[in-house]
Amino acid sequence: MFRIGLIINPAAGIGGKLGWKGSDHPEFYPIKAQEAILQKEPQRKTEETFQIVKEGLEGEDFLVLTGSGTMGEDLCQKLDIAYQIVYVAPMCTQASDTALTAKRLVEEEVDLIVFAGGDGTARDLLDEVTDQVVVLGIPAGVKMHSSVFAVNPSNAARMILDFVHGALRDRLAEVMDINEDLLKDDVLEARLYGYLRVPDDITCVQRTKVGRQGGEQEKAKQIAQYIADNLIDDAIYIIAPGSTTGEIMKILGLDYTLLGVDVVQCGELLAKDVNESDLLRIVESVQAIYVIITIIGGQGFLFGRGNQQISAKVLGKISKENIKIICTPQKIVDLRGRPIRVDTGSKKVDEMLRGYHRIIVGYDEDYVYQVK
Amino acid sequence: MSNEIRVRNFHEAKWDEPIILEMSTPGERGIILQADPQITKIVGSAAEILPDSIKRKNAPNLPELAQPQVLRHFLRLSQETLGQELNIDIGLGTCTMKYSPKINEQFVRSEKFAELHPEQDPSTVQGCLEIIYGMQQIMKAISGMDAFSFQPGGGAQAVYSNASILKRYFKDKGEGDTRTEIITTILSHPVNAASPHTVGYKVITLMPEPETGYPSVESLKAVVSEQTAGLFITNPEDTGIFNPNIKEMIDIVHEVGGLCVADIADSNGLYGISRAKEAGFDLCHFNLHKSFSSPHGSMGPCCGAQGAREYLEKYLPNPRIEYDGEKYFWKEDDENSIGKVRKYYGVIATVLRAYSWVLALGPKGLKEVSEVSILNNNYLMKKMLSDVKGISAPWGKEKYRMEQVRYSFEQMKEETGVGTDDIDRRVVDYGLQGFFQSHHPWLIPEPFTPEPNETYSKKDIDEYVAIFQRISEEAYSDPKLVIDAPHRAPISKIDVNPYEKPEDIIVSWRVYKKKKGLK
Repeated sequence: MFRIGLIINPAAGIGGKLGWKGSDHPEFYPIKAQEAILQKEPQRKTEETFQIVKEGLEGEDFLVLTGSGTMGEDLCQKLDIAYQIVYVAPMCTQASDTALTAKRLVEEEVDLIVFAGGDGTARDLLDEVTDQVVVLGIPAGVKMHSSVFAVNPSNAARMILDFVHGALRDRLAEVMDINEDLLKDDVLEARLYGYLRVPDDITCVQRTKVGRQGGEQEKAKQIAQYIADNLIDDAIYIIAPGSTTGEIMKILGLDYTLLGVDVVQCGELLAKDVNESDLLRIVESVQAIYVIITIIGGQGFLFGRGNQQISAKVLGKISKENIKIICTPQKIVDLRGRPIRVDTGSKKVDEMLRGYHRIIVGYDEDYVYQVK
Repeated sequence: MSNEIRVRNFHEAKWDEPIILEMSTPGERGIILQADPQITKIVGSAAEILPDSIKRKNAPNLPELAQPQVLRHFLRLSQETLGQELNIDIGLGTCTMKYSPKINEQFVRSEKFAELHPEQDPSTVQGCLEIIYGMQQIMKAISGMDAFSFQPGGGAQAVYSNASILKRYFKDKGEGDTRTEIITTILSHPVNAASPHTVGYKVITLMPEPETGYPSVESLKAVVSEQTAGLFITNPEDTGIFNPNIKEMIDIVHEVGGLCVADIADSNGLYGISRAKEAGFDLCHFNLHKSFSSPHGSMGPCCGAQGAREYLEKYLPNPRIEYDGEKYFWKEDDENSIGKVRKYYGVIATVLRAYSWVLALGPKGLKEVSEVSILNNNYLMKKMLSDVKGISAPWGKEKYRMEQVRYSFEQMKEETGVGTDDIDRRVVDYGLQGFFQSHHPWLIPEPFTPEPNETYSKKDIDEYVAIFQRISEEAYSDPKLVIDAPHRAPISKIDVNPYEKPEDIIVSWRVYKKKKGLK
């Protein structure tokens, strides 16, 4: 029997309606509680998804494990889907209810967790789920900068069906969150919070082809090997966050931080998880300095999202040629022609970064792509 | 006779035929070979002539069958295939699946040709050499290049051979160590990246601009340098969109000292319209097994005709044919040549078919091939976009295309869940053998690349579109019907996941036995 975990964040998306840039700030809680009861969006979107899932799994044995009431129970009853309650939620749910339901679903060893919400909901799941269970988001929040969401509810349904039928593998996807309100005041508060495993939604033949090459993970290893083989003696390398850059550290056999910035010289770890001032000290004392950076999130950000330690001030000390962008080919394809974006907070540095760049996509293989 | 377009309710044959090795009965014979006593008397028996070192110790384990069983076996298998001559084979874009005139097959199978041996003295094969020489003159006229070699056994090998010329050329100039990069485009045929990479070049790939569908001149300018060995490019690319900036791009590469190589494997939209020389290319290749009507032959008898400008002629593969006004002969001793890329002279049967095809058409006929191909393609595009719900032709909106188009079923996938893989299986139920989706990576989601060349009639194209129209209607009314296809084929929908694991792939009888633990 296939066991699908379901978490609906009933309050997801409220912030958007009320003109907030997110729904998970404590001061919003009292208003949220009232609005959430009336709000239908997460329910409607999840219903659209599970209506298709139900039809697609007709005659097959599957069970939905979920929270009580608006967290999933009501929907299962409405759609007449077999379900089991694993968490009893209060009338007005909070972030902790998402986390506790996720914890229970992990304990129940479900095969897949589907959640309806936004970046905040993804973050609530993250600590409980980590890489233990594959997760898929139905987009229902205000902010969805994370790469864990399907494009729309029907697309989510098809990914669920394909995953249930064993036609999809999984990959690591970023969980990100950005405080857009603060961004307006030039205060950047964006973070890469971690990675969840999501179904790999590359179409069938693409998977076959990629499979022959060992997949995106294999491509990331090729890129890392290329970087490792071409390190210049004595030069200092600032290794930005991300799973692709992490592969370099693995090949070099160095300890590293997935979400932080590390510094490497002569194949040795010079500093781990550094901040902006650490980096400024380094760039001011050394001539040959390189940044190895990868594109973060589905929005295609190079700088300014999840890697703010490498700030405009730091970048101002590094030549454009010494910024090495690495990225698996599929991530470039997924941009669908949209340019890679930079938002360092400094117009001068953003301008310096603009233009066509070589993106290292394999061993001795570059794509040429525009940064705006 | 009705002119109404009929969507055929085709059903594939299923004979449940075992493989021939499993049909063997010891002692059964289809033909009993006997040595000619007169020959034996003169040269002795084969067993005596052969040295012991090359004699088999045991007889080969060949299947033993009589003639009727062999004939029946292969006829049954033939009924289980759908070749170019059975279905409307528009779907395999970039391959130019065109009708191969049968008269050309008669020439190739004639004993006057089939029984020639490549080691015969040239004086005994002057007719054959004249054909090869004559075809070189034709290719020079078609492309504007100054010299040709027919030795590469296919497109990828021709690109490899061209990349090898670049290596040699820059070595001779003393720049072999510094010219390390080649530039190509993501929508050029992938061999333009793969073959130079195999030769040892770093590959830099330009991406299309979202508005036009082809790379910007600025993106090329951003990466050309004194490290650039060359530009390997297809034009038009797989989208059928002609890159109008090609001359400017070539000039930019020439300015930094690089060479430019045209992949004209698919020349079907270019005959008499555009030539490699005028665009400024230094090298090029054509596939005689595609646009020149010779059949593809399942990756076998192919010819990547490799063309060079005068200043690069000396690097072409050896041997090359020459004519001194009286006789044709092979010139093998050019020390500048990159050497042999294939045994002997290449696949001459393919050259002969192409030669006959071109002579039958003449210059005007050849140009008409391209004009009709382009007309057919734009008719197909217009009809596809108007009759088939859920299909689109990304990039170059409202613009005419050359010989093919890369369509997308993205909208259909979004709205119904039916994607290109599902449609690819469903077309089998209507008598098509499937279609080519796209090279990788898939820049266009849910892709489909048909190429309706000059050998398809309007009625063929109308029937072809009607099949896709029918499948689209099914997708929007009963998507499961398409998703579970095929329904009228001996093999139903299969799980593709096993193909992802190399350890599970069986490519030969020997590998099958090994993996199954059979002796």
